[in-house]
Amino acid sequence: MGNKVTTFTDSQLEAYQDCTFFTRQDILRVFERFRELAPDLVPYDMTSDEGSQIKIPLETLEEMPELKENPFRRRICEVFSDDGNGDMSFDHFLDMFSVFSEAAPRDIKSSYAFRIYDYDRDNHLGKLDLEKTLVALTQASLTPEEVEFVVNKVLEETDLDDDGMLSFVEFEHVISRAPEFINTFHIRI
Amino acid sequence: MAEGGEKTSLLGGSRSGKFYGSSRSGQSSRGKPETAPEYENFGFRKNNDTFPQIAHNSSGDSDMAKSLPSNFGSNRPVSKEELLFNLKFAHLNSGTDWLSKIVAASGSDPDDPHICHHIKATLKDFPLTMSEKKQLSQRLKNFIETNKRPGGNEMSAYVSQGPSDLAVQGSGAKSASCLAQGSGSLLPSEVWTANITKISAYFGSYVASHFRFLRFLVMLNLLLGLVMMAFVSLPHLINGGFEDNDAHGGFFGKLSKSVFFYGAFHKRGFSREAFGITWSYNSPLAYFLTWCSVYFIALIVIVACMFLRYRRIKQMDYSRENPYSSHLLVGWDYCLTNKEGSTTRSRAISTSLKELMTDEKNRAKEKRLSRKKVVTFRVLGNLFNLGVLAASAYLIILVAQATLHFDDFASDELTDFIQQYELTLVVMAMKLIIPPVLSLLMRFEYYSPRTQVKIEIARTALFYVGSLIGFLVSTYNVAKDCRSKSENGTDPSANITMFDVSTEEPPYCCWENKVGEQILQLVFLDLIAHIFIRLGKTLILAISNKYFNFDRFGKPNFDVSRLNLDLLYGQCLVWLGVYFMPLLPLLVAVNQVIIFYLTYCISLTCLEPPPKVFRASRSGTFDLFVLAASLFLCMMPMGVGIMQLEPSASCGLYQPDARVYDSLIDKIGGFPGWLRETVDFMSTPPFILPVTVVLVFLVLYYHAKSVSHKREAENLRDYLNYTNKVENRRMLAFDRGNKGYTGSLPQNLDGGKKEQSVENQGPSHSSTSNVWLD
Repeated sequence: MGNKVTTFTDSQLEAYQDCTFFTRQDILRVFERFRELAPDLVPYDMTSDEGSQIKIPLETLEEMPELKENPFRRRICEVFSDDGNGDMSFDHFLDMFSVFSEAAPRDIKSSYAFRIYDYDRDNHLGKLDLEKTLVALTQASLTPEEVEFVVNKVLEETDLDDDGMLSFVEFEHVISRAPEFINTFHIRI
Repeated sequence: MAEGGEKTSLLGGSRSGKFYGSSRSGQSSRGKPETAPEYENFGFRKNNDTFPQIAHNSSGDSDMAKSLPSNFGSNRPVSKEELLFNLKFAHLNSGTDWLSKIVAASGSDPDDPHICHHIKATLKDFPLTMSEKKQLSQRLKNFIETNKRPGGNEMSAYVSQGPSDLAVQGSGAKSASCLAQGSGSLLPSEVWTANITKISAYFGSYVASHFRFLRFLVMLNLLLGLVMMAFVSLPHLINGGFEDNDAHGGFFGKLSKSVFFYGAFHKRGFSREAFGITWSYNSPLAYFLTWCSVYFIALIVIVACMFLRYRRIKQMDYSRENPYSSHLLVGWDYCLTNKEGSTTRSRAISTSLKELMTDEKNRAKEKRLSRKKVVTFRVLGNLFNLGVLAASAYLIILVAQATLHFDDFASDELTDFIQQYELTLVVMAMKLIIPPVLSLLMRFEYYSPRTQVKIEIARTALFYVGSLIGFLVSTYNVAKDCRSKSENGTDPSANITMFDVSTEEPPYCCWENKVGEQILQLVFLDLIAHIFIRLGKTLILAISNKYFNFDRFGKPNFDVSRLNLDLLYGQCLVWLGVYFMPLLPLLVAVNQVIIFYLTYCISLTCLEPPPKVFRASRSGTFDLFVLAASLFLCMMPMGVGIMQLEPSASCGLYQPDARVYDSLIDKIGGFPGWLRETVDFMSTPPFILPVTVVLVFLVLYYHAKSVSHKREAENLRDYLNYTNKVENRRMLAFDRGNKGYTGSLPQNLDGGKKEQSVENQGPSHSSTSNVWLD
């Protein structure tokens, strides 16, 4: 393209293409957005593995227009980051938008959705997780009794082994019957 | 089959369902699952390796989740399906060394090492972290390089595979919500979508259905008005101009002479010369046929809309069966990136959840009284309603006739004024006073809430239609009196010679115009009353609530059924009046647009959602049904009038001596003989009675069929739910040992005490679940 600085080597781009649902142009475009968030942190030249080392802090990521109005933005960043603290390197950033892209199949979207709603990270959606999800979803407009009622109803509808929590397969069961999931679990970048 | 796939989706898709079956059959010494020792060992090799714990785990009570299938060790030959299955749940098993698994899997089946290529090509489908993926991709590449087979052809199939199959499914589905987010489309049926979405987010889908009904009526009226205009008014405009000089001004002054009213239309058709050919336009026929087609179009549109809506409602089944979990888990739209959109969405979710909750609570409340008392009350109530209807119709006719004998005790202007307006005022007053009284009295009939709403709507609609027909009839009676004056030269009631028959021309007498004018008056009065009452009521209530904290009359809120009935009233006026005023639908459409914006602004500024939410019908087709029924009811008097009544002499399209229908038939020029005889035969009793009987039987037959179908569908649905639950519980019961369900095969765990205790529960559960199946 005439740039003096190459951002990624060919093998890097190929690896990214293998591991995400993006094409070359998409990857470069996502990199532009990544760089815009913190121009002084992120260099143009990512050829020596800065992609997995330089991290943008959580607070900056939360200000992104795509995530700003999302009640789950913090959980999203935590899920896709290395150690769950929310700071993301370019690798994680790319991975995140790849999962949220249109090309990603429903299975991978549902596994990440499960992790996002799993606030206490025990691989189950317990009552507390569901309550937190509900409160985030409705921006705290339901009374505590209503929250409790809804959570109980949800467990009643979906908890098949009666252990009081939703495991991943039970969650997937709900998702598989909702055809619009694949359209709503989508962020365009 | 999809059903089977769904049943086994518990284990993560049909792929794994297949896998489960195959591995069970593949193992020897399985024995019966009921006995405890057999349960513990499905024949898999025990292995004491355990995997490193999952890194993020803050809660203490989920030890189960940490322990992974212990014999998923590197020595065990792993089948391909199992490997793919476990990769799918990679996020639950983080930290595993996938490369060795893959190598082991490819090694297990030397004839088909493509598992490596396949995984490398579909790496993005698995929920691994980016670094894992990159690493795995690199190592797989190396592995493939080093173990290249001499043939080399097998690899090419997997080397560059492009997007995986599943990705096609994802990319094909455009994100509808993203596309629709910013677009304000101008399609007729999509106008006001943004406003309605906002309303539905603030007040729920029930209130939004009122606005959708209003939008439907506006579109319908526009369509009808355009049809009338195209075939009736436009030709007249082209030919004769806006006003007709033969006609006399009436109540509306010059407007009465104009093309708005029936009276302005010429008696005959007209013809024009163009391009050397004489184009002739048969106005009377056109008028009549357009008028008939207006009714048919309206009927077809309403029935089609009902049908489509009903079908659409029946299709979205899952979200109705499991509404809470769909709202909670699939409710949020990640596409929303602006503040307004996200606030609207979260409000919408919370309002629908609240609607669901109140619906549940209300369904639980049911008053139970003694049967006899209820029945007597209901019979009395129905009789009372009919009585009120008859009385109000009589009152209207009485008031109309009273105008004839009006003596002058007041000034002339006042007399004139009252004379002009009194009928419409009486009708308006009745419309405002009587239905609320009736609905108050309905409390004593103790219907269940949903039935109560339906019956209330039906009764009020009947009352409206009845009063309007009475109004029409009485206006006609008044208006046609001028005809007797014009024929005899004397006023029969006052015994005064109105004019000299020989010298003057008969006075202008056009009863169609008079009736049309009265209807137009009513339309305007209705609009004005609507605006004032709505504004007044809500303002007073809002101010008293806000500033004086005067809660006695409750907060201002929506009464959706009452609002829908008001719209129905306006629409009945259209159907009754379209013969007399061709452009009435357009006018009423304008009215309805005004009412839309008025209601919209009022509701967003000071109303609150209705406290109790009783939908008349779940699919919202009840309103359309009532609309169609009132269309039928309005068609009847109009049809009778066209057939039986004499058109006016001094205005309009038809000869006064014959009925409209007959004169038209003559004008058409005569059908062929056999056709005319058939048509004549069809209107005689020997034909009509059997046809009616047959139709009634058909209706009863289809009704019975539909009732039995519904019952059958209920049974099937219950059975499906039951088998789903039983099947799932059975499968889960086998996994009681693996409490932290990682999606792997049911296996033996050598773990801590907790696992032991759960394991002990396991066999009993499995045995009980097996009892169910036997």
